[in-house]
Amino acid sequence: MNDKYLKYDAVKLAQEDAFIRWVQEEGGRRSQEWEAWLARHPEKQREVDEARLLVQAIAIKEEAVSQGRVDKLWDRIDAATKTPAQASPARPMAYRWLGYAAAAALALLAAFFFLRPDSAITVKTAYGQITEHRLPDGSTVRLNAGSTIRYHANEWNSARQLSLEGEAFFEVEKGKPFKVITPKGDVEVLGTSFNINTFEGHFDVQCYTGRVQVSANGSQEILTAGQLAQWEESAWQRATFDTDGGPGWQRGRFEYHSAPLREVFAEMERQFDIRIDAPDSILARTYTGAFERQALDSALYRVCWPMKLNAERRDNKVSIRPEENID
Amino acid sequence: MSESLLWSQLREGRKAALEKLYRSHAPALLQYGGKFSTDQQLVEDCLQDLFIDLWQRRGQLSPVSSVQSYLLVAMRRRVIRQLSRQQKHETTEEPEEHQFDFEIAIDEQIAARELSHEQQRKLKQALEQLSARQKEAIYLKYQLGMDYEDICKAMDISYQSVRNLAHSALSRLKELLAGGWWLVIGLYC
Repeated sequence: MNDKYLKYDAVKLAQEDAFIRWVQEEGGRRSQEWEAWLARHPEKQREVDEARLLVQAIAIKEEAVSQGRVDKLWDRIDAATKTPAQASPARPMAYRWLGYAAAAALALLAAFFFLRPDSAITVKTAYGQITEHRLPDGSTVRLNAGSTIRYHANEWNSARQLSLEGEAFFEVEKGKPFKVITPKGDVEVLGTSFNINTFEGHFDVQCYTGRVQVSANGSQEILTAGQLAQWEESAWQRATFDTDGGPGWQRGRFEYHSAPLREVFAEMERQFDIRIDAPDSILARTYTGAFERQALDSALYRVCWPMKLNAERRDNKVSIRPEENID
Repeated sequence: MSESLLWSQLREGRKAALEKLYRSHAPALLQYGGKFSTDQQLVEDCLQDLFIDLWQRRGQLSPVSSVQSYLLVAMRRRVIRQLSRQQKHETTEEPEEHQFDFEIAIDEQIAARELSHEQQRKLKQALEQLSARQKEAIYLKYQLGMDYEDICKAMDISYQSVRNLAHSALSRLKELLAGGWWLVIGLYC
């Protein structure tokens, strides 16, 4: 804790960001720092009490904004920003021919592109980025951060097959068998939606609708909606889960039940595009809880606080250490 | 982080990003706008134009450090511009300084625990007596949690002026709350 505060009176303290946050988020990690500071400087109790009251006193009355009002306004914005689908006004004849010629050239180019023997397509998401990709048959893949899919567009009609590294959620149109190849095994379906996670050595498949067949090392399982299978120590472990709302990562929510911190921090690195440094003794500990992709600071706080860890952040590097004993 | 991700998606022309930004910021922007004018229609029009304009200029937007501050600043400009246009229509006089009005609600728990009725009344009075600029600085700082740097940008005044506004407002509050204050605190020490 900074000793410059020793010279502050209540009015000055009440303007400090660190102080305001302490008062507004009582019970947070900062409260321990402040309380320890106060214990060392009991003579500041008066100023602190007074400043706290000042900050608390400024509670501004807000009239709630109704959802209906927000929706109605959005409809107006949405209507005004629609991409015009109508034909553009007629242009002079000469330009029109030019347009046709350009279109023909483009079509040729596209045909060349797609008919090439090797039309491999790679879709890759960087850290901090998620994306949605539409496959040639209209099926969609939503890729979590730090993931890759590869497939051949020209072979798609004869074999719907792609490879995945990382994590993705698939919504598959009905049709020929649809196959996902991962480093540890394959997932085969007809028409369905499912999530595959291969991060940190996992091979977890969750089936949201329809039927999915998973296979690894010659061992196969069939999953129906609400069932999941995890490949652990050369065997499939089955369980059920709640399909409501789709995979948490798509909603920006990451939940853990007794998961090693190594996995939790790896997910944070991908979601926030940061590098986390922590000793192995911490990485091996298990965590139960959740964080959200809203703000890095609160995500760190939600994981570190219950584990009694200290996170120090500099730009996009975060260093995690055991909390020092302050008492 | 997710905010700046949405911002970059907006710049790439993703309509879904515009909607997400709108939905997460619309309530606060309507509330902030409402502090300058009680004319709901005017505030809504400003918000609507702000987001339509964002979409139309998406190609020219540059990265921002805080999406929240960017939107608050943009909203403020629009509302004030709109208000001064109206004033020019109605009178020939120079537009007067804009108003900024809010009501304070004292946290009932704190009130019951720490403030007498007399103090609550005084506090309310004290906040009402602050100037529009003092109120706005206080609002941006304590209600919206903005950095002092962003507040300068929002209010288009220097860093020192923001600090002075906040300092004078808080000193005034403290003065008006004094008297009986120590009695209350004394009980809890």
